[in-house]
Amino acid sequence: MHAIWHLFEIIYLTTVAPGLSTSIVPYFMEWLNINFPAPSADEGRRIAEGSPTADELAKRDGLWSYLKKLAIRGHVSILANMLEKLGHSQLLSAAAARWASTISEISRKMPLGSNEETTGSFNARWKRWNEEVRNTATAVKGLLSSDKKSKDLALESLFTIVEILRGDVDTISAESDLWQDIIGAVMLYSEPTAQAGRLPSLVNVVVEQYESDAFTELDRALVALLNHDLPEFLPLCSHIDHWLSAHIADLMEHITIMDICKKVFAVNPREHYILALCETYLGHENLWRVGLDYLGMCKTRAGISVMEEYAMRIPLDSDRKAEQVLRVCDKYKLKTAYDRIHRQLGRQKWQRGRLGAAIGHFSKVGDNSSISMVCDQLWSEYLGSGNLTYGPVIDGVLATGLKHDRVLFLSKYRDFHECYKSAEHVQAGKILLSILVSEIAPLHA
Amino acid sequence: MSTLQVQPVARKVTALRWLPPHGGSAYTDTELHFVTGSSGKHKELVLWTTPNPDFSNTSESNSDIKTNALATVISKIPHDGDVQKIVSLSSGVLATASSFGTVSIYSVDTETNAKMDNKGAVGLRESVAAHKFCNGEAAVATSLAVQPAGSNNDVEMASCGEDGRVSYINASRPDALQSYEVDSTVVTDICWPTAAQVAISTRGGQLKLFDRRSPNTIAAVFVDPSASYAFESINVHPSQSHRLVTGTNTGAVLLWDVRNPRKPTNENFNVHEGNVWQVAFDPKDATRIVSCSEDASMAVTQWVPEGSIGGGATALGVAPEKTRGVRRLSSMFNALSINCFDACPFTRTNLLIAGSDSGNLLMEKGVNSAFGDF
Repeated sequence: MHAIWHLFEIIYLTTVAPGLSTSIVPYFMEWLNINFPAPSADEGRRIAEGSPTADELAKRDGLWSYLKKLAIRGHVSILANMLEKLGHSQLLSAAAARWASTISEISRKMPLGSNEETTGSFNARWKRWNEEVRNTATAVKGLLSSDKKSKDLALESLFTIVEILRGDVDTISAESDLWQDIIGAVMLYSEPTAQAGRLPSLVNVVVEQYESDAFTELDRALVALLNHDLPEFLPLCSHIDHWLSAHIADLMEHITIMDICKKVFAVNPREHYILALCETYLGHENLWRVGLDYLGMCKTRAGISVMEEYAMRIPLDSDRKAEQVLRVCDKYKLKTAYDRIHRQLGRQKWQRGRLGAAIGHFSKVGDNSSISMVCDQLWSEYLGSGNLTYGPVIDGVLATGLKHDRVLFLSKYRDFHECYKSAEHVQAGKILLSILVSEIAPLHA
Repeated sequence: MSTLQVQPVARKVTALRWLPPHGGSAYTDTELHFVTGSSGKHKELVLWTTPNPDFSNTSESNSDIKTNALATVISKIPHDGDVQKIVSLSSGVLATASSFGTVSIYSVDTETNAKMDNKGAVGLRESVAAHKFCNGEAAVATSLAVQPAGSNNDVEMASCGEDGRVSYINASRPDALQSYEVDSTVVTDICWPTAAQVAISTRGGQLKLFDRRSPNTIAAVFVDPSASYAFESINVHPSQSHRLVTGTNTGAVLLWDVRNPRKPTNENFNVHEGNVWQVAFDPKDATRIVSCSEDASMAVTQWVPEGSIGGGATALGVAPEKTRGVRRLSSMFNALSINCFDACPFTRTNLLIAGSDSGNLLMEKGVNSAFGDF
């Protein structure tokens, strides 16, 4: 996944800055070496371990394939060092030893671009170097014996290395393990100033040689990306991982290359992929909050409506969780969800006998009829038992400054009784009068 | 904004507590222990160990366990329900409040080398159902607090729950619990200002005090008339029992002085942007209030008590060193709510740990940096 992300960055972000026409080649080689490292560090250690003498080195197994891999990946300085060492070995034929040193020198001379140099002068240097490599190659080829019995392995391998350095596509294709290697080496050794636009044609040529069955999802996605075929690229990403497709779609939207895709897809692709990602989070017991935040980032109407639906369906296991969900509703202004949740909580508390809390919830959404029903229940409990126990229930609600006729009535009635009990008859009388005057008493009381 | 160190633990951490060290003081312990409780998909108690910052290990170059981890797991045990709160009853015994309304007592063994054998370091002793609604459903036990200065064998705890009740549980006879209805809304947090007094905070925005000897009657009720809050948490000053601090659902931390029950005073510090889930006075310096919040940050608020410059200091003409201010702590690796924290009272270096919904353990060691303005 990192490979895809990195490549996307290279193609679209690093080299497309306006005004700079930088070559994609050094970044590509960097990408290749970071994401598909070769030759492996173990191999390198095995071959170069213990500072061997030239003879020991020449005898090491796998030496030549290691050197060829170094050449393909552009590790020219290491290649040069090793060849120089080898040049002193007695085990190699005289020709091989001589050419090893020559090739090592040539590798060292490989021009590397820099920011200060103009493209023109770099190209001139490159041409000169390439000439030199070609001459060396021709010379070595001449030395190779066509007699099958006396094959000088060292010389043959050296020839292959020189051919790679020359940028010969066939040799490179033959020696590479991965298709990405071929593209990298071809660009490095024959078109060092290639731009990102060159990639599609190269890719197609290389990929033709491989059967499509052998490609993994990752390979297909990378090919699509190199081809600048974004509508193909996005669905492949979503097969690999939803996080990847959501974030890539978002990035594309930000750097405004999404427009190509919009014409191809029936729905807004960014929204689609973010929604796909959210589905995985919203079902998760711990990550629902993350899912909701992603939906918030979606910033489209569809996103908001999905968020409302989800917010209403999150299981409210505890008071704290309910608080958290309500916070989210506040943050994203989800009025319907807020309303529903409070009503749901109100009903839940009512069932559990927490009448004060129930009234509190209903009052937050202005559900006066439910409040009246709860008050009726309190009143009928009082009438049934003769004990005025609803006092504390009402107190909690009154502290929030709720103005509701029934609640007001219950509280005044309670005050009336308390005044009566404590023999403050005048005060009691006044309260009774206010109850009758304001007509808040229920008719059947 | 100071940065907290983060260790991902793949659990939503909703409760944590430092365990008292062997022998009562941490001056000789190189390792400290704490317990975390988690909720959601994995409900369990985990025992951790972390190196004591008072013993800095600069000479340790050959340790074979070179990790960047802040703490290491010693053992785990599943827990029945989300862990809402953990309290330490005595050395080797702790109690938890669960979302299934039960209060459970566990024994913890940190002395024998439990690293060899993962089982057995934390074990359940007994469990009692402390909270339920009148229709029989279990109610979430939202918090738990231990009576201060109780004798070791007869420690009492008080738990509060969504059923609006407070239950008093004796650690040695948990079955004989007593439960009283104290509020019509949810009781969010509880603490003991003195051994005979209990204070609760409610979702209705009330702070109520009770006398333990007559638990049915409310001794005092305080509200903040200037705003309609809901209180999420409450805690008491370590030595002045008339000073309480509450956290609200809007991000404010209120510092109360309830010496005069008819005229309680409170001071409002708006330090957070979301519900303040937990507040506490720093055990080493009670002029600091630590709080954690839904907005994924923690705050250390320095308040100056009135009269702190009185007495000897003005006589000598010494200016007070402490000025008001707030220091905020957060981490860019932690985006979701910080649910709980505990400041270690046993070490000389300041050591603060916290747990969050992002599945992280957060830590801050020994900083005495400057405080900013509110």
